[in-house]
Amino acid sequence: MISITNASCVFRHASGREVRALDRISSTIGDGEFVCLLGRSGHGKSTLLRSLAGLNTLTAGEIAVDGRPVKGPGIDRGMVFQEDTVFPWMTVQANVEFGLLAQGIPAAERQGVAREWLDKVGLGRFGDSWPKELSGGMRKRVAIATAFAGGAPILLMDEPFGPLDYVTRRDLQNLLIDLWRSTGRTIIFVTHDIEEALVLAERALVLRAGRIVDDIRVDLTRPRDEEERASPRGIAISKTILGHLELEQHTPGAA
Amino acid sequence: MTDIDATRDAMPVADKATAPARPSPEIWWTLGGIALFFIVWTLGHLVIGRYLPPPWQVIAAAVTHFFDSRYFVGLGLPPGGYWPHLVSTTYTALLGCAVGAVIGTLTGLGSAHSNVIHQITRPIVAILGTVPILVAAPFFLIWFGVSENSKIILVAFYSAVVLHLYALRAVEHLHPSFAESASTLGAGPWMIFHRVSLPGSVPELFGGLRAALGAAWGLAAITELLGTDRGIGRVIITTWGVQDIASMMGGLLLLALIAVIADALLMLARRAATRWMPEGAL
Amino acid sequence: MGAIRRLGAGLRRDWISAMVVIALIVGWEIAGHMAPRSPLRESPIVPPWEFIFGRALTGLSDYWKIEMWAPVPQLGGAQTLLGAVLALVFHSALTLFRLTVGLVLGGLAGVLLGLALSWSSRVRKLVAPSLHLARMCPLLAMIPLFQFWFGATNWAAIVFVAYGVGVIYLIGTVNAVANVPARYIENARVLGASRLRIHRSIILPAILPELFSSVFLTLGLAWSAVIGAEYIGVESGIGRMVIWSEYFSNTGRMALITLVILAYAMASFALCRKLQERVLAWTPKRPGA
Ligand SMILES: Nc1ncnc2c1ncn2[C@@H]1O[C@H](COP(=O)(O)OP(=O)(O)OP(=O)(O)O)[C@@H](O)[C@H]1O
Ligand SMILES: [Mg+2]
Repeated sequence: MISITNASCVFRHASGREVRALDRISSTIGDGEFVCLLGRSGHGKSTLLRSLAGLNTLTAGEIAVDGRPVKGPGIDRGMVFQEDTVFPWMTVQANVEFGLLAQGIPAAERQGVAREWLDKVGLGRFGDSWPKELSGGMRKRVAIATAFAGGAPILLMDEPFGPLDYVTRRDLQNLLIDLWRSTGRTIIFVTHDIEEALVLAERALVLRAGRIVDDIRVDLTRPRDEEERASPRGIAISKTILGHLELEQHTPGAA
Repeated sequence: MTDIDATRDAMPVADKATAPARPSPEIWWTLGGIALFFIVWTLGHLVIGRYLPPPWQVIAAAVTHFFDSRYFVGLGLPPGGYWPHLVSTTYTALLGCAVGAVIGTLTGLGSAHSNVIHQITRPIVAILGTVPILVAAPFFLIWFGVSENSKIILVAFYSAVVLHLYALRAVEHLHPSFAESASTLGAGPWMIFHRVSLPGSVPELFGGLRAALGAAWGLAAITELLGTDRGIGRVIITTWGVQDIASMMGGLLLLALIAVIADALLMLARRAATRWMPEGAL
Repeated sequence: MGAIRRLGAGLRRDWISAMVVIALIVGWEIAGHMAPRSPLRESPIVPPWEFIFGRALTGLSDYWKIEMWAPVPQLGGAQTLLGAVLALVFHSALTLFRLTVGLVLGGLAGVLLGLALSWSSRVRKLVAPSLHLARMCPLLAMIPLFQFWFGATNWAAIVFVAYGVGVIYLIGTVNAVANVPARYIENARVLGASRLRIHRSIILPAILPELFSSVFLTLGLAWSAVIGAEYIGVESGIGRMVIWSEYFSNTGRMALITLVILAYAMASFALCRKLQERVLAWTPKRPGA
């Protein structure tokens, strides 16, 4: 279980201006949940996610995982970045193995686990390829396989499908849902796309100016196809979220 | 999810390597270019005269004095023609460059990782990087004697500075999310250093190596001009003393040839080491 | 006041660097007192600071050879501080003159020739092997050749610097032109621009930023070249002073001159950076650069 208590993060820009990226955020996320973090650009989504990953230190408050406060990155939390972070100098297989290598797992076991995950994301035949030989969508699959193979029970994803085309995006969303269901891991997924949140999330946290302004249960039935999303409940949820996002009048992140 | 799904968004694979080898016109342009070089040189000879010996004279000098030359011995050079001198200069340049490259790469990557190392190396690199390394050459000759060692140390110093700067820049150019991604997968500082920073900076390190090696030949040669009894620089200065311009240019040409070959080998090594690089990224 | 405060803040941030500099200075002094002193040598192997700025400094007046303003030690005159300063100024001026003229001439010639050779891609391919050889031919080893052609004169040094710098700019220009995106040129051609117009209005502005990236490279190279030329041939200039001192293993004078050259080089790099900032202010910052 992840518990966030009064988490605040203030950045000092070179100009001397202070930006409150997170403003006394509190929430708890249970094991096995699929949570989407929604919000407009610059309103603290990445900052919250990076704080969860331990890549960013809070200026006040605390984040704890299973009661232990987060001090830095750890193997209990994996991350898929917004940028393309598949290491271009390693083969696809070596990329997926990397987390296991870092944990000191012997080579034979490593290879087996990595191959399994490559199969699961549909890249079984591409283990020996260089990342440059894959398309952007395939590289995202590699990143997802790497994060899952690392074995972390909590996976943090920062707009991983941002730059992809619509159909590829839908493919990967389905893949992610399958993997989530079959593994039961906790996934916290940043997006600014309401439709994506409706497809994926069990729960949507809406961030505005560094605060959580709404916590919505997305209780639609799966599969979340067009009809399901167009159901009265689906429309109600998207209207609520849209309201939060559009009724924006403050300057983003202003302290 | 099946394989078919994944292959659907696979890019068309550009298989240059497997394409049938056609005789490319590029090679003809290169050969023509080499011919042009010799034509212009010959024309230069016809215009300038004795001061610029024609290519055949220079090549003849390089060939006849290559392995053995009584003429060189008569000039006071050790027996054995150009050959031992070429070996000596090549040894100096390669060894000095290698030692310096290892040191510079380590300090450069180290200072990209640790502020303490950065602060320690910065003033030293600032001094060694701005003072023309040549100015330091006489010091080396006095401190370490007129020997192979002082030449090697000089080349090593220069290469270390170059590689330090290139390594530092390479890590700066590497997107920080690579290291962050590694750390979320459980990698510690050492793992990040040798699995992320080091391989990620290989392309730029080769650029630095190329620059350092290119300068190493000249540095080795000029220390030989200042002192020491061996090396192609010694041949150049000795033949210069008797105004034998053809033998002098012969030595220069041989040195340039070795430099060209070494550079070509380095580029081959780079290609092998950076097969993962997307095309046209360098 | 502001400068002092900035210095204070810098020291607080970079105190390790400051300590390293102090350690180097102190370490040098200690080494100077520990290192063996050969009775044959006028100067210890590692000259301590008081020696460098004492006897070595006045000793530089040995290199003042004009019977004016200060006594000439070569003709039996006394060593004076004034003579030392005059000698330093005289030889520095010569070196800086060679450096500057060589840089300017070489830069101009290299860029112009590079543009001419880039007139068509065929010419470019044809001259590529010669350019490669010119770049790979070790510059410093070519000094005797230039001495032979131009004698031990100012011109030999200037032409040598210009050659070294020119080759870099020539290759830089040819590469930069080859890297200009073809769509710019095609676009201009579709609009009916003549070749000359394309060269002037599109290619030249497009390659400027890349050319400027060679400036620092060539500045370092020019320093090496001018010092090298003075080492081997031309009997004047600050590089020659190093060799004169080295002849008697006069490490004190060598160290002093090295410090002076270090100061010049740092100043020239700083100047270059200023110039580059001003000239390239209009270009967008490259990502990661
Ligand atoms: N490293 C940093 N230094 C200074 N300010 C930062 C830093 N990271 C984020 N900020 C500031 O914090 C605020 C929130 O940024 P954050 O990256 O969390 O936004 P976001 O919601 O992820 O936006 P986007 O959708 O564009 O990725 C912004 O105002 C930004 O300027
Ligand atoms: Mg973000």
